[in-house]
Parts: sequence; structure tokens; C-alpha cells
Amino acid sequence: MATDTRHFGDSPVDTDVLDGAAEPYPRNRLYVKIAIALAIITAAEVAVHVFPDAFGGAGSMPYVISLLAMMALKFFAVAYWFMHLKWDNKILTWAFYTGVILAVAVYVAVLTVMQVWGGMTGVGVDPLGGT
Amino acid sequence: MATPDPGQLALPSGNGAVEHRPLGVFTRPSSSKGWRSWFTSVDHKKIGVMYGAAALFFFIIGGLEALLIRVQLWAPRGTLLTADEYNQVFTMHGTTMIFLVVMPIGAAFANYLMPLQIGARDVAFPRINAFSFWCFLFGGIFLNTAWFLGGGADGGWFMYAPNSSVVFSPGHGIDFWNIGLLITGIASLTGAVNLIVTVLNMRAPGMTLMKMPVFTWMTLVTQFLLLFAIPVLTAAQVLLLFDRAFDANFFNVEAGGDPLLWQHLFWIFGHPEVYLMILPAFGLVSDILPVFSRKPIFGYPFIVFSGIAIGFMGWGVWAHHMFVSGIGPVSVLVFSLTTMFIAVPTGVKILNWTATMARGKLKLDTPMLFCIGLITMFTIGGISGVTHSVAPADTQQTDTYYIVAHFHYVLFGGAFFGFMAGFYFYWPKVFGYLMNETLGKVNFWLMFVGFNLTFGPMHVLGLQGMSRRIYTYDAGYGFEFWNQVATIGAFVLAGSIALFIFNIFYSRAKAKSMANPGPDPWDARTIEWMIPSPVPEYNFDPIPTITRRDDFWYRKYGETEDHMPVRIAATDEVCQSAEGEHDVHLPSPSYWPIVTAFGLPIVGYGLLYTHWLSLIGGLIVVAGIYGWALEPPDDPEAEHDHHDDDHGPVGEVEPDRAEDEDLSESEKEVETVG
Amino acid sequence: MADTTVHEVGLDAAAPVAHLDHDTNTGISNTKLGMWLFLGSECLLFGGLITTYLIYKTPLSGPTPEQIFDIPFTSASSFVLLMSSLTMVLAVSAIERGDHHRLRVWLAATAILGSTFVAGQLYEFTAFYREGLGFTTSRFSSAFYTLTGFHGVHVTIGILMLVSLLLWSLRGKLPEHRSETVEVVGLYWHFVDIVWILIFAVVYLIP
Repeated sequence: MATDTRHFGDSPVDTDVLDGAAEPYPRNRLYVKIAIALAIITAAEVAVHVFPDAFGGAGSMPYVISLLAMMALKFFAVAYWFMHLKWDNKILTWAFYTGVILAVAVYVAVLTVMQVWGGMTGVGVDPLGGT
Repeated sequence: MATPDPGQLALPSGNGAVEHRPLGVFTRPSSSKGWRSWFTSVDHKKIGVMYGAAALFFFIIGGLEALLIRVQLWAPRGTLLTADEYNQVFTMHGTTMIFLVVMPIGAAFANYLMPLQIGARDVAFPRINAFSFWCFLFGGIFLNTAWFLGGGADGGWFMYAPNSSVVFSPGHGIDFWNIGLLITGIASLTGAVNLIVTVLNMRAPGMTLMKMPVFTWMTLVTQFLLLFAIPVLTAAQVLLLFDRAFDANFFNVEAGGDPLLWQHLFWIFGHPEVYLMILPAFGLVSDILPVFSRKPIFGYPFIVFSGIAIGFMGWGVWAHHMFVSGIGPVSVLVFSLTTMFIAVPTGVKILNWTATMARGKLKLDTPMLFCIGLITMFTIGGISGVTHSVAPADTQQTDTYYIVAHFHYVLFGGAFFGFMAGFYFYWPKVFGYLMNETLGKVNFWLMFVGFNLTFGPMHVLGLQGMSRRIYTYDAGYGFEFWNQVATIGAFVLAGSIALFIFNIFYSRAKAKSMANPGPDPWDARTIEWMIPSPVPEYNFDPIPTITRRDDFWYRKYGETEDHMPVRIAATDEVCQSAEGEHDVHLPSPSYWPIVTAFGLPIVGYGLLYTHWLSLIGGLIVVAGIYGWALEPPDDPEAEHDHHDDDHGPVGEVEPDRAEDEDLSESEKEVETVG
Repeated sequence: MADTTVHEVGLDAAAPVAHLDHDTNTGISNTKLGMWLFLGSECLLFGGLITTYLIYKTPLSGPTPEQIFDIPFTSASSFVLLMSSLTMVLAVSAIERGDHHRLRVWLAATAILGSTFVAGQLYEFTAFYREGLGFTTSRFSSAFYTLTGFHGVHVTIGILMLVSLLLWSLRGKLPEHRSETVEVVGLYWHFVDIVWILIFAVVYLIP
């Protein structure tokens, strides 16, 4: 591994020297595999959207759940591998997912309170027409 | 190598290779003394002091607004303020006190004390720290310029939709409120990231999390609450901004906008906000009580974990602000229950404090008096708060003075009494002189009496049915007497604040002829008391190694078999001295934080008046950020030698700060070069 | 704005570590920890905007989401943004092993893919506007433009940071012991991608 520490110099670092130091990097294969998997999942998401009837029709429970599941899978994959949570200190995982879980919790609660437990507005409910 | 070797990262500008004059505009500021240095300082102590000073300034403004309200309500059909002016005054009073007084005083203590309590040289990101302060100050000033540009915001500090729309509030007041608080929100968010990283990453050797002073713990919880609560408010404010500035339909009922959305978003922010205002004061009290009881805090883990529990549970109670908003019976039930539960960890703290004092050798100095004031007054406010969790009762109390009484007992009787305790306790550490004790005691009793006279009667008024936010009342409802009591109380309270300010200057004048109080005037427990007063620029030298909780105390005292403290070392022996050379390398001052922050209110004025101005403000921000990014965190030119090591001399630190302040201009120059 | 926004949100590529006499307590650099905390905070911001969209996605007048969304087009631009995460992570691994040439290639690729996405979004907005969906048309349009616009601004800031990194690297100011700067910008970039993963499913695909 090259350890050139000439930096903030007026003349740019001669990087050709460094290029020679490149060695095979095993994680790159993994990254490409993850990316392919992500692409496939995305294709599957679109497929669900294009053929909704195979999943009980657009907006049905299986349709929504399968899309949410694929979304969550992509989310975790990017965070786990691309954002290095797999290899980094667990404090980072903890800090980030505190935010994620808190956000999901409070906003699901808001949606529940507003749309299930007697809010006046709801998806597809016209607050003016309803009165 | 995901985590690079910090040794390699050290001083990336190293080797003195290049002179950085970013954009060629400014030369790097280098002096850390003189009035100009305050504008470029990245020293957490100076920034903490500025937070405190700015907050006290806004406190006076907010206090004057409060007095206007009380004079208006002295008698039925008051004529001092019109209904419209009254709306502006109570809105700005609430907004100022919450966002520009209580939160920044918490930030002041967090900035000044927390790095000292964990034995750090500075916060994790010193320049961002300066940026946070200037954002807060400029945001606060921006908010208050509304008074000169058509009147303040008039929708209440919660700014409920659709009352906040252009239709119902056509002036610019609400825009000033909205954009001003967006700017202070940036301050809070960057500050939160900064302080959390500082606590997690920069503790002295041996300072494990469970050895940290309680104030540092409460700062950590507070900053986490800010980190996650501020973006919710920002989201809500962005919706409001787009509604008002660009005719969006978020709260436009005609297009299906739902006012309840604003209420939810606002209170999801608003309730954690309540806790993040009170927790710093809880932390201060938890550190001050043991000193004046000469006993360790009772049940330290309980204090810490109840603080964390409050932090978490604070996210699940927001809709108790909305019991009369029509959220449906199930929601009311759920949020009633969570509200009842959250009283438990708060009660745990009260119990711990009481048990700390029990059988202690109490010394009733001014800071201790204010602590006891907090415990008693907050208990009253807490109990009246639990009554809100009973939804049927709350339905009666909503929008009455009972609510006003409750939250003033929590915020003034709680948070502010705690801050007063902190001011009196830490004044010698920060400024190098003790506040006058007699005046302090008078100050406490005046404030205690004035406070109870002002807000105690409001319980009665509320239960009698007097509505809040109404500019007057009619004769014959029986409101007159208690309103007069409250108004008298408000002036007593104002007198106590005046006395506090007088005490600052009086004690300062007296201190000139008195000796420095020394590092440890209170025989205190935590490590910030082992360094000279006022604190030298480099804080600790050397950085102490921590072996147990209340480390400083146990350097002074051992324990007999029956757990009584025995002195094992004189205070002077264990304290650090300011004398001698201190080759401590500190971050260099910078212009860029203040420049960057200065662009933000200009963008704000542009949004309100002419978009060209926004462009200019935006360019200032971008230029500021680029200058910042290109500027090395350390100035290779100033204050240390051009050797390969990164520990150049900072210049000799004078033992006596009073002398420093009187240094002449020329001497400063010499120091800088030296 | 470049590295710039990084500073704004709470990190300072090299500042803090230089002042530590000892390693950080957690072993994580201040910069990286600060970025992760900031990203945790951003979850609450985007959560609020997504919630707003979910509540308002049925307009009382004007075009509905079903009428206006062009799923094949958005799928393509989602794919582009997804692949930019791959090029970003390859850039990080390039600088970690000192391969400055590949670093620049991957940074440029990431910036180009990001720009493609933003261009696609601008095209989409224009097309929607022509079809009668202005910002003020309905509660749906306000919520939709605000949510996706906020995301677009985040991507744009990310592109500026990438371009600045590229320029730094070309001027020789990005040696591999400062690889963490690239990694931290990468975290921001991946987060922006993650948010789009959510938006693509919740806004576009689920009716």
C-alpha cells in the first residue's frame, strides 16, 4: 500500500506512481454482486407494478407488502454493505438506526392517528365531501 | 483501511508547505485576545459565554414582553395593547423564551461545561461550534427585526394552521418567525451533532460513560433529542414556508390541506422540545446538590437511566397537546396512558435529589437555594402536568390559564431556577470571581416569591375558566383579584432579574480588590474544578486520567470505614496550576463560521422582500462554505513553529485573566507573532 | 458547494483529529460519527415529508398520481441512481488502496450518473407541469414536488461535493490517508440513494 504523504503541495502528487500500487481488492467483487442483486430487486419491483394481478391487484395487501419488503431489502443492503455498516463500529449502526426506527415509529403513529383512529382526512377520503 | 491512523491524519496542512489564503480575501485571524477575537473565536468557552450573554439579552426582551402582557391584564378591559398587538406580544414572548432563552442557556452550559467535565481541550468540531452560535444569534435577531418591519408573529408559538396562512395573517410576522426559527434550527442541529460526537469521542482517559458527571449525561440526552426533533420542526416549517411564500396547499383547507398535520408535526417536535429544555437544568442540579450536601448523588445509575428514559418516552406523548383537536377516542386513550407513564422517570429524579439531600451536611448557599427551588417548584409543575394526562380534565383545562401556570412552573420554576443555580455556581469558574452571597440570597427569595405570586394565581384563574391568549376580560367573572396579584408578582420577578444583573456588575467591581477565588471555591466534586479560575484557554494541561466518578473529590478525600469523608490531600496539591509554560496546540480562529452564518438571514430577507437578495445571501453562504473547506483547520502561519511536530507554543498564557483583558493593542501583536 | 455541505452538516474533513493527543474513545473518527448522526437526523426530515405525501396523495382536483406517473421512465432513472451507489463505493475502495486514477474515474462516473438522475427529474417535472400539474395545483402536487424536490436538492449537493473531491484529487490534495473524506461523502451519497429507494416504492409504485 502506497504511503505517499505529499499533500497540500503546490505541485500535484504524481499519481502514476501510486497507480502501480493498485492491487486486487476482494471487496470490489462483493460490491458488484450486491449491485447486481439490487438491480434484480428493482426489476422485480417494477415487475410487480407491471403485473399487479399476480399479486392480488394494485393496492392489495400482498402487493403492498411485497413492494415494501423489497424496498426494505434494498435499504438494508445499501446501508449494510455500501455504507460499510457490516465492517464498521457498531455505534454507527446504532446511531443511524435509532433515527430510522424513531422516524418509522412516530410517522407510522401519525398515519395511524390521522387515518385509522378517527382523523377526518384519509387516503381517498375527501374531508369536504365527507361532511 | 476504513479507519485511518489518526497520527497520519494529524495536521494535514503540515510541513508548512503551502500558505493558504483562501479566495485571497482574508488573512487568517490569529489573536485570541481583544474584543475582535470574539467574532472569530472557535474556543468552546468563549462560545459558551456568548451563548449565555445573547440568551440573557433575549431574556430581557422576552421579559419586557411578559410585563406588557401582565400590565394589559391588570384590570378588565385593559387598553395598553390592542388585540392585535397582544397577539404579537404573547407569540413573541413564548417564541423568544423557548428558542432564544431556555434552549441557548442550555447550549451555553453544554458548550462551556461539558468539554471541561469530560476533560477535553475543545469540542469535536470547533468551527462548526462557532457557526452554530452565529446561526442562533443571527436567527434570533432576524426573528426580532419583525418588530421594526411590520410587527411580530401573531399565531402563538405553536403557530397552528390554518391560522398561520396568508389569509389570516397577511403581514410578514409569521414569515419572520418561520425563517428565523429555521435558521436557529440549523444552529441546534449542527450543535447537536457536534456535542454528541464530543461526548462520545473526546473523553479523557478513564472517563467511561458511567463515570461522566450527570450534567454531561443530560447534555448527551438533550442533544440526541435535538438531533431527532429539530428535523421534524424543519419539515413542518418548510411546508409552512412553501404555503406562505409559494402558494402550496399543505394547510389550504380548500384544497384538502389538513390542519392536524401541522399539529402532529409540531408536537412531535414540541414535546421532546419540552424535555430538552428541562434536562440541562436537571443535569446542573444533579451536579450541584451533592456539592452542597457533601454526599455523592444518590442512585447515579437511576438518575442517568431515568434521563435516558425521559428522552425515549418523550417521543410517545405528543398528542396530549391535541386532546381537544378531534384525534379520536383511541388516540386520546393511548396518549393519556403514555403521558401517565412518563411521570415515572421524572419522579425518580425528584426522589434521587431528595435522597441526596437527606442526612447530608447541607450548606444553603445561593446555588443550593436555587436547586431546592427547582425541586419544589418543578414538583408542583410536574404534578399539575400529570393532571393533563387525564383527558376529561384536560378538556376543561385546555387553553386556560391553568396550562399557562403549569408550563411556567416547569420552565421557569424548573429550567430557569436550575440555570440560576448554574450561574451562581459556575460564575467563579467562568469569570474568576464569586457572586455576592448576600445579594444572591435576596435574589433567590425575591425570585421565589415573585415567581409564585405570578404563576400560582394562574392555577386559580384557569380553573375559574379564564382563557389564555385573549387580550382582555370582562369585569364580573372574579378574575380581577388574581390577575392583579399575578401582575404584582411579575414586577417582583422583574426586580429579581434586575438584582441578578446588578449583582454581576457589583461583584465584578468588588472582585478587583479581592483575591482570585482559586480553582475550587465550593469544595466541589467534578474535574472542571481542578483547573484554574477562570479556565485557561487550553483547559487541562496535562489531561487528567479518571479513575472513578467524582474523580476530583476522591483526589481530595478518602473514606473512613463508616463512609465518612476524610481529607487526604490539600486542594492546592491536586489542582492544576496556570503557571509555567503550556505548550498546548489549539485550533486556530476562523472568519468563515460567522461569514457563512451571516448569509442565512440575508437569504431570509430576500425570501420576504426581493429574491435578488436571496441570491446574494446564498452566494455569501456558498463562498463561506468554500472558504471554510479550503482553509486548513490549523493555521500553519500562526501561533506555532514551522516544525514537523504539531505542538507549537500557543504563546505564554498569563496566569491572571484580568491582566489579559487589559493588554494593549501592541502587546497583542507581539503575542501573536511570538 | 462541495465539501462545503459536509462542513455545514457537521464534519470537518481533517480538523478534529489533529488536536487529539490520544485516539478517539470509540475508535471512530469524529467526522464519520458526525456524518452518521446527521444521516440519522435526516431520516426524521424525509420521514416527515414522506408522511405528508402519504396523507395528501389523493388530490381533490387536477391530475392524480396514477394519471401522471411515467413508471418506465422513473424506473430507468432509479436504476441510474442505484448504480451510482456502486460507482461511489468503488471510488472509496480505489482511494483506500491508493489507486488515484480509478478514484477519479469512479468519482466522475458517480457525478455523471447523479447528474443524469437530476436531469431526468427536471425532465419529469417539466413533463408533469405541461400535463397540468403545477406546484400549486393540488395538495398532491405540492406534497409531491416538495418531497422529490428536496431529494433532488440533496442529490445536487452530493454532485457538487463529488465534483469538488474530483478537483481536489486532480490537484493532488486528496492523498489516500485522507480517504475518509471520500468515504464520508460516500455515506451521504448512499443515504440519498436510500431515500430514493423509499420514494420509488412508496410514492411511485404503491398506489
